[in-house]
Amino acid sequence: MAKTTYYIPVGPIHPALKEPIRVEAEVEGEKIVKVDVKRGFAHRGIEYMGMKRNAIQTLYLSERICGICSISHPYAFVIGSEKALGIEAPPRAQYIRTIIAELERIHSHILWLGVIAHEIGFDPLLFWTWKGREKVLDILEAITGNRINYAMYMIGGVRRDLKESHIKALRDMITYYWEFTEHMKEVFLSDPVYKARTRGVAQLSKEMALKLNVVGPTARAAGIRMDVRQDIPYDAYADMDVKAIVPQDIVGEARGDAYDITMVRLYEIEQSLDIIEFCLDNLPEGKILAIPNYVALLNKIKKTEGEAIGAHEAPRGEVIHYLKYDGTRDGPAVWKVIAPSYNNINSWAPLLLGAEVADIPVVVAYIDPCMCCNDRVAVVEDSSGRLLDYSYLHKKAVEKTRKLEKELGVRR
Amino acid sequence: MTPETIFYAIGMPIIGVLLGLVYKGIDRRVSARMTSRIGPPIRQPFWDVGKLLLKETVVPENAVRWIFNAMPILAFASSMTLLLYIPFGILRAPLEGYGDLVVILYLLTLQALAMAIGGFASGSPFSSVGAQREMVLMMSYEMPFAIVITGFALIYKSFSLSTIASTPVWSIVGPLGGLGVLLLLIAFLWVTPAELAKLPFDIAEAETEIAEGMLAEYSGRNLALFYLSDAVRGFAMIALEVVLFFPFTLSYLFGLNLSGAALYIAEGLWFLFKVLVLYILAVTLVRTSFARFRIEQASRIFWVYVNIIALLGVILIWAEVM
Amino acid sequence: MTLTAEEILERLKEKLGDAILNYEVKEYKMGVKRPRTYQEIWMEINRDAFRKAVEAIFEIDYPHLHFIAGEDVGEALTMIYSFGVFHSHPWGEVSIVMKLDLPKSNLVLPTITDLMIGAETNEREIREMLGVEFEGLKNKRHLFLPDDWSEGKYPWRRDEYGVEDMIKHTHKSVREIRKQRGEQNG
Repeated sequence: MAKTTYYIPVGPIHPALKEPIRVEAEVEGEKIVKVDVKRGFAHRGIEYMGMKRNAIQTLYLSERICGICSISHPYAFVIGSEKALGIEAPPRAQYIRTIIAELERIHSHILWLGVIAHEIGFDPLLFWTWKGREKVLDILEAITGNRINYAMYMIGGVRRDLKESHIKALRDMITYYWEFTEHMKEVFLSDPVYKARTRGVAQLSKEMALKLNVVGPTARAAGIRMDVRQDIPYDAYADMDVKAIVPQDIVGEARGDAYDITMVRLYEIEQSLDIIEFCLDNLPEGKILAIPNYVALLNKIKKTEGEAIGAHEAPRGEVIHYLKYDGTRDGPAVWKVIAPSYNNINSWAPLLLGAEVADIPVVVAYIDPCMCCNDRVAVVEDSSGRLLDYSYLHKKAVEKTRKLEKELGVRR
Repeated sequence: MTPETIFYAIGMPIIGVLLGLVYKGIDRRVSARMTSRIGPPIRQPFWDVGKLLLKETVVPENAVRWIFNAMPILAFASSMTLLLYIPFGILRAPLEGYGDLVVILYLLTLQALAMAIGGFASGSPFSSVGAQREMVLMMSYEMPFAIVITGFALIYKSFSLSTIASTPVWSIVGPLGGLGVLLLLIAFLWVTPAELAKLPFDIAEAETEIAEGMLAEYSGRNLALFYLSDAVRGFAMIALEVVLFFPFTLSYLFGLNLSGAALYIAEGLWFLFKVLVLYILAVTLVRTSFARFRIEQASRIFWVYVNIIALLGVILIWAEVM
Repeated sequence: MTLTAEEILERLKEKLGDAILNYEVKEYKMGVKRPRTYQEIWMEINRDAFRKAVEAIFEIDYPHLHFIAGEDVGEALTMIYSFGVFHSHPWGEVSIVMKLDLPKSNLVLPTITDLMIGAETNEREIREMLGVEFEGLKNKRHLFLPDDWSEGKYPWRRDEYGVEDMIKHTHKSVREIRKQRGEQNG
């Protein structure tokens, strides 16, 4: 009797998936008949660590949760902390925070567009979009000093001010991206092959999206008008009326497939440009920190008993932080982080069932997964099953480097 | 056996491999430049082959060992044989008279088949899925390919490539037949990337879906042989296209009156130039401007649209010839 | 049609009665040029009324589950559920945060995965991190922790079931394992 089903493992190391997660699919011909998602390959115990540190350390630790949306977690953290502590950031700081968050959304969305192009085998588009993405990364570097992990936010404000030259550069960037986004829309939305590969793939109905608790562009593509910036606004978003971008507003109907999500992301780039422009036009003057003295801030936190939810609309969806200060420590007593991918990965199993092997990369990539979770105990064993400890591995690594240096004739 | 045949038997494969790899290098370079990258040096494919030959050849535990090892050799041998059937410009094909277009069709198929069988034999799920896809794809594109060849047979009343190469096809067909040949060319251009497993039809090797598919388990010498046969196949396929559709020689175009060695060298270079231009247009440009199709989309394209184009071409030719 | 926090609270009181032990409506002012406010409901409920409370929320509007969190407070675990109702309405989303105490002698809660499939992730995480059993949860495999994680150890617990200092001494635990295995120094 011939075997009719194959078992295809995707990840934790697979060209379609540059993130440590495992999808196990059973395949009959080209159809997937059984699917299982395994997570937790990069669990680092960040929440646990955060509950042992002070609030400012935790703030920058939260930045390390995710490499791409690295400002989203600090944003939710500062919003939550400010709500719990009852302090308000100065107006100028609020606007600067919004600008940084929107810059990040632009670079994250362009990154996704490149990735999805790569997943369907359209590498030239990947190169082109990522070349366009460099501009916003340069701006971020100019403003914050880093391409990622900006370390810009502080509870009650921001750490760096925007200078006149920054504002000029930002305005140039906006002009550049209006044009670039126009090109991208043309390329992505009117390309027949792109349409053929994404139309009807990863299709999520509105009802299913609600049940699966998905967030962000994934939910919006399914037609749910859900956007933290609109539902419970904060900072500069509260001064403008942000409207959730849904496909039914653009083309009349929402199908919730990978094509719709592309559309949502493309239009969100334009929305971000509008938001940045608004912020620059209305940028208030004044100081940038509510409590400039960090020791005073930590003391205040130590004396505060309170809890709050901080929410931010990250490029991939809603980031929610629950914080509790118990009045004894200068850090959070309870800290719970929900990243967008935490919810969005829920959609993989139902979407992959009955799909084709060729759709795996698209389904997997369309939510723009980002494994930001907590510690796996690192235990390395050698071939005989003997445990190797940290100092031994470090010693070996140093030896190897020395050997390489010798071979290559590099002088230290 | 004349000295000439011995020269051909040894010289042609070497020249073919050289040219195949050079064209591959140029293809990679041009593709990189089109996407604003610098790209590898043109000699990179040579380094790649050299590196692969030095590497260990791993055979997976649950592979069928002898099939797994035999298939790269079969693919390489068939691509070498294929070279011997292709006339270089005015230089006649070494094996002329021993086979014709139908043999070429089979030799091209044989390579894809060897890869598919190797994929099935490697015992990896990725390879199996890749091999299945290759089989489906093969069944789809061989049909229009065969129709194109039938069209030429109708015009020349012969399957012999030398006959076809001796007279440009455009000079013996009328306006109706010319339109037919044009349609055949379009169909053939669609078949080219599929035959060469290049984007948008590299479905069987889709890197992001099934991790190189049929080739997933191949390494070292085996992979080098597949690499070489792929390079040679690329060159041979485009050369065939040039012979069929653009057979214009220098002397024919410009009325040059060369003779002896000068004639052969000039015509040879001219032929290589034509192949290069067509290679860049039909392979490099196409693969840089398309995304990968899904297998059922690719099947539909070939079974429905390309078949219709090819059949229409044959009907037009037939209407003129009859 | 959206309801304000007070109206939602009224409805919940109607349904739950005495089961609401304590409640508070928090109001937050946001915005610099045009300050406006939104509200959140924070309430403590009796654990027996948990399922009824969730159903009551689902009747008001199909909610979005923000998170499930938990805190070890000594004798009991405080579970924190947060639902957002009327999301997709500008300034209209009301977060309902429910807290309930679970005594450590009986760490069982009914699952909500039958109402919302997506909650499976949250419940599996809480199950492995805090050791709360969810009645009716089908998939009980570890979510983030490794499959061979030792039974009865829960990272977020602060009692003897918690894990010892895992942050600074990951290699210390390796040494301990080695000692357990009775191996000599390596």
